[in-house]
Amino acid sequence: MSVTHARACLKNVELHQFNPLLEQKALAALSRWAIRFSPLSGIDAAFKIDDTDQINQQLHCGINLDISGSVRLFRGEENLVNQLNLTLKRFGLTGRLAVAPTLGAAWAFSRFARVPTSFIPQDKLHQQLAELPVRALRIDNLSRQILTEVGISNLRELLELPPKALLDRFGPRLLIRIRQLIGHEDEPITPIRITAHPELFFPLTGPTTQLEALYQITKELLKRLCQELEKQHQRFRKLLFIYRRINAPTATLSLILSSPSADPQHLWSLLQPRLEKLNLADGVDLVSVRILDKTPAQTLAVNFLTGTSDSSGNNKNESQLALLLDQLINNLGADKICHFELLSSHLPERSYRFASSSKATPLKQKKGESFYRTKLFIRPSVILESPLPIRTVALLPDKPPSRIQWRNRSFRVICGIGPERIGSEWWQAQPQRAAEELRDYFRIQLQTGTWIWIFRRVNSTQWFIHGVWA
Amino acid sequence: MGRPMGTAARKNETLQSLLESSTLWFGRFSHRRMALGATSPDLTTQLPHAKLGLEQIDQALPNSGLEFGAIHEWSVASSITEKSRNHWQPPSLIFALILHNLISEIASGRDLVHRDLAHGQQLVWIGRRCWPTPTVLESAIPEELSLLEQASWKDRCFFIDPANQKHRLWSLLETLRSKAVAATIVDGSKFDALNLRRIKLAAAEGQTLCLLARPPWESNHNSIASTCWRLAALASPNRHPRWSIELLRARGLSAPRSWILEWSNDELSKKSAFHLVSSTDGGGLAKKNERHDSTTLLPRKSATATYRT
Repeated sequence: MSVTHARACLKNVELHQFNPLLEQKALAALSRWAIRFSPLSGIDAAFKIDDTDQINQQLHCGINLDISGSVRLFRGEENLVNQLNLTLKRFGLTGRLAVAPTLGAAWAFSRFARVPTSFIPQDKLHQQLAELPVRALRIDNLSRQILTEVGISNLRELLELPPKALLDRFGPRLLIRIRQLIGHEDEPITPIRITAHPELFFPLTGPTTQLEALYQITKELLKRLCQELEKQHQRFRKLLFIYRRINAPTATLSLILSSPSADPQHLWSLLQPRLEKLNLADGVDLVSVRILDKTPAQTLAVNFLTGTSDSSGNNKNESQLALLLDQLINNLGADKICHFELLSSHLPERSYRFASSSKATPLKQKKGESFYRTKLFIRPSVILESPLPIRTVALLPDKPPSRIQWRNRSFRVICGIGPERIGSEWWQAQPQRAAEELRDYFRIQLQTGTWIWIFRRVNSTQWFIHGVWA
Repeated sequence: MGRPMGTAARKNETLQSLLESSTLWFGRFSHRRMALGATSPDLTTQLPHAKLGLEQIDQALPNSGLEFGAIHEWSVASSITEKSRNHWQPPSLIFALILHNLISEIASGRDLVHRDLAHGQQLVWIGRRCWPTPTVLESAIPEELSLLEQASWKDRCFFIDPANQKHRLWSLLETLRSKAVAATIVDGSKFDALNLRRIKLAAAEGQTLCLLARPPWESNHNSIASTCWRLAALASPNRHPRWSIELLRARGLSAPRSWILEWSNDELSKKSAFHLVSSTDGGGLAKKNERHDSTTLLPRKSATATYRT
């Protein structure tokens, strides 16, 4: 569907750029989830992030499953596909599914069959393939164009041609695709890799309700884990402690570190206050720790005379900072600790944001970035998160108002500077909204001496307050 | 009965133990450690101080600056009523001025006291109300630094958004105690006397500068801050934002003092700076015993802080 068509059908259409990277991540997640249906699950091998042809990208957005061995577990292909379909619907996804003897055929029917779900038995493969277009063969645009020029539009016509003629004219690629489609050549699925998280267990002979015992066990686990990581020259970022309780659900404590660490004391100082609050129910009979994220340790140059690293002072400060950040993140939550980020927008409220530290770009990836200064205009020291509508008395639309009503009080305006027109983000694909967003800003001084920043939308008479100099 | 034997010896022992305990207390601060029995140095002169960069105001403060390891309370006088309590603003531009001078001192390495303390260089804003806008952050980070240093200082700022007052207090205490932090700017609303006492102790422990923004209706309530300030917007004749800055409390201050500050924007050079327009004070430091007459109300020679955006 084209954008024009979509806009004709719906009034408020929001457009978003197709992002292959996000698409790939989502496909990988879906593929991992689909392992419950078959151990061989993978993303379409032809999906490439750097492919500029969006039509190709969308065609290759899919996952492949080899269900040869797992059909019996689900008592038939129909049951398996029904379960898959139902769960996809629950996820809010509309899937097109096809079960076929070959991967190429399943790919073709899932994209080009008239029904959303198709089952192709081996004996009817040739017959049903005949109706599909040439595009279902996963060939490049040039070959497809040449085939169309010579009047070959579907697979029936193509399959009737002698293979030698095709080989001479189009090279081996087309022939390989045909052989893969009809099952004369193998086509393996590249399965998605699942990284197993290393885990340490400490089973107890019987359930315990003594906190001191749990302290000792947790400390021991931390010590072992850190020793093991030291040997591997690794540090961890995320840890999950699991306490299996009797007559209660398993309790988990997760530790997120601001910087990679393998220091048991540091980890214990973060874990202990949270362990104190743990409800032990009728006792804990198993404690385990799982590493969710780890990174290789950084090596520091050591001064051969003193035996210490050159940046020992900095390291001390960094460790203090890491301790503080870890305490804050683990008690308040990672989303409560933010960093300042400038955004590429000239609209005041969208020109910056406070991004959560866990999502902010690490400093090492921002080499060469300088601190950008907004020298063009003078801005207030306090900007309201969203502009507040105010009532005004304004004689002329292109002049500042002579009186405003703010915070339930009426103020006389002593003087005003402006207007400064701030346009919309023209690159956003919402032209109607863009026209509404044209603003004329004024700096005005109230009778109390306070300077405030107000604006009027160009196409309306409504005034808003947007900032204060404080 | 006569006096028991060994009184003098016990007295000496008591004195010795007192001296030892005081040494232990001093020993918590490495830069103030002294030998047993040595003459006690004047501690106040050795404490690091953050300056406002405006000479007259700095001179009115004990040791010419804001003490580290102490609370400095700021409020903006406003006509906000009980109904619109959510609308108060902290004095962000003044905070930016103080941070600007602090960063300049640390970056230039002039302030050896900071070096000796091996102070952290993180700047922490606690409470969404106090979070800066790009204008404030740009004003706080000196333009004279290299572009890489400016970016580095921006990354040394982090912002905490506590869900409630309990979390705000806890995160403030943790931040103040940390050696990695140089200064903390915090939304100080709804802190009672007990909380303020805890904050003061935490600031003293971590030797961190604590700038506490309080709402107008709480200013000077239950305050145990080292300095108390109040700002009020003034009508200016020259289209530049103007405030009266009032020093309500400081050690050795006999009567409140006030000055008039102006935030001047030069449209051509796009530079902004705080200018001290005049002093309208009626008191001064008691030890200096200055006498002020009506002439001090007249505009004095302007002092300018090198403070640009």
